[in-house]
Amino acid sequence: MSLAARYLEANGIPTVLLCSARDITASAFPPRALFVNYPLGNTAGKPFDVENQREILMAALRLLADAREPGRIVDTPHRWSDDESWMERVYDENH
Amino acid sequence: MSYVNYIEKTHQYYFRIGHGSAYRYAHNEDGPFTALKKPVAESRLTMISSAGFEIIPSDGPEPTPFKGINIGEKDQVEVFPIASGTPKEKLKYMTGAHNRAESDMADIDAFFPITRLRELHAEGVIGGLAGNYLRIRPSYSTTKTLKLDAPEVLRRCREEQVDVALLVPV
Repeated sequence: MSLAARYLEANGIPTVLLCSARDITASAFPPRALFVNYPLGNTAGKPFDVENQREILMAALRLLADAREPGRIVDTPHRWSDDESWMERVYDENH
Repeated sequence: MSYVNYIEKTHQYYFRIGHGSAYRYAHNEDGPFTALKKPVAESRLTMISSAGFEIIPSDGPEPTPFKGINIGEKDQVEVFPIASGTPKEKLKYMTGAHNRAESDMADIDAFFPITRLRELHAEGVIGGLAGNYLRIRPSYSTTKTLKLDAPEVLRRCREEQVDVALLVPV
């Protein structure tokens, strides 16, 4: 998706990318990215949490308007859970 | 802030299941940039997703499962339109790739915010929405993405007179 964003941007269309895999996104260097530190599959917000989904989209739209140079990744302050234990379970044997 | 190191974790995972060579993620040191030509409130926006969902037909059989990631390099464009006015109830996530304890994929808006974008448009935050959003089938081949799918995405964006694009990988 970062590559598609870069392609559009190179052809005159401004883009913003939501991402939850920060290292993969940073490596690809998309024009603008908003990092949402949630498990994959929830890049646009927590399921059924309208307010959270709105906040993420509004942050993405602000980044779209405010960025002045390529490669900017803005970290959102949202947390998936208090203990963040989900991070330990990514690619766990049982998942 | 701590976050998951997916590159390292996927390398370990593929090694564990018997793949000898590590997948090489795209890497760039610099990139293109285009400033907004007008405010978001006056811009026409499209959304581009890599999520594997299908439209549920009003009659007839259930949609066939999305085929998942394109592993090989194929000379086939895999860009699919989805009307931006589609009710979320008509969309169904079809692959098991992210069906983990933390993500049951039951809420389409959590990874394809089709309802939220309509609301923001109705409130005047976004100037306009493309008639069709786009779904790209994920591919491991950067060549395929850049030579086939990305040009088709651009063509459709131009056809729809899109000003800005929101990309949401799943």
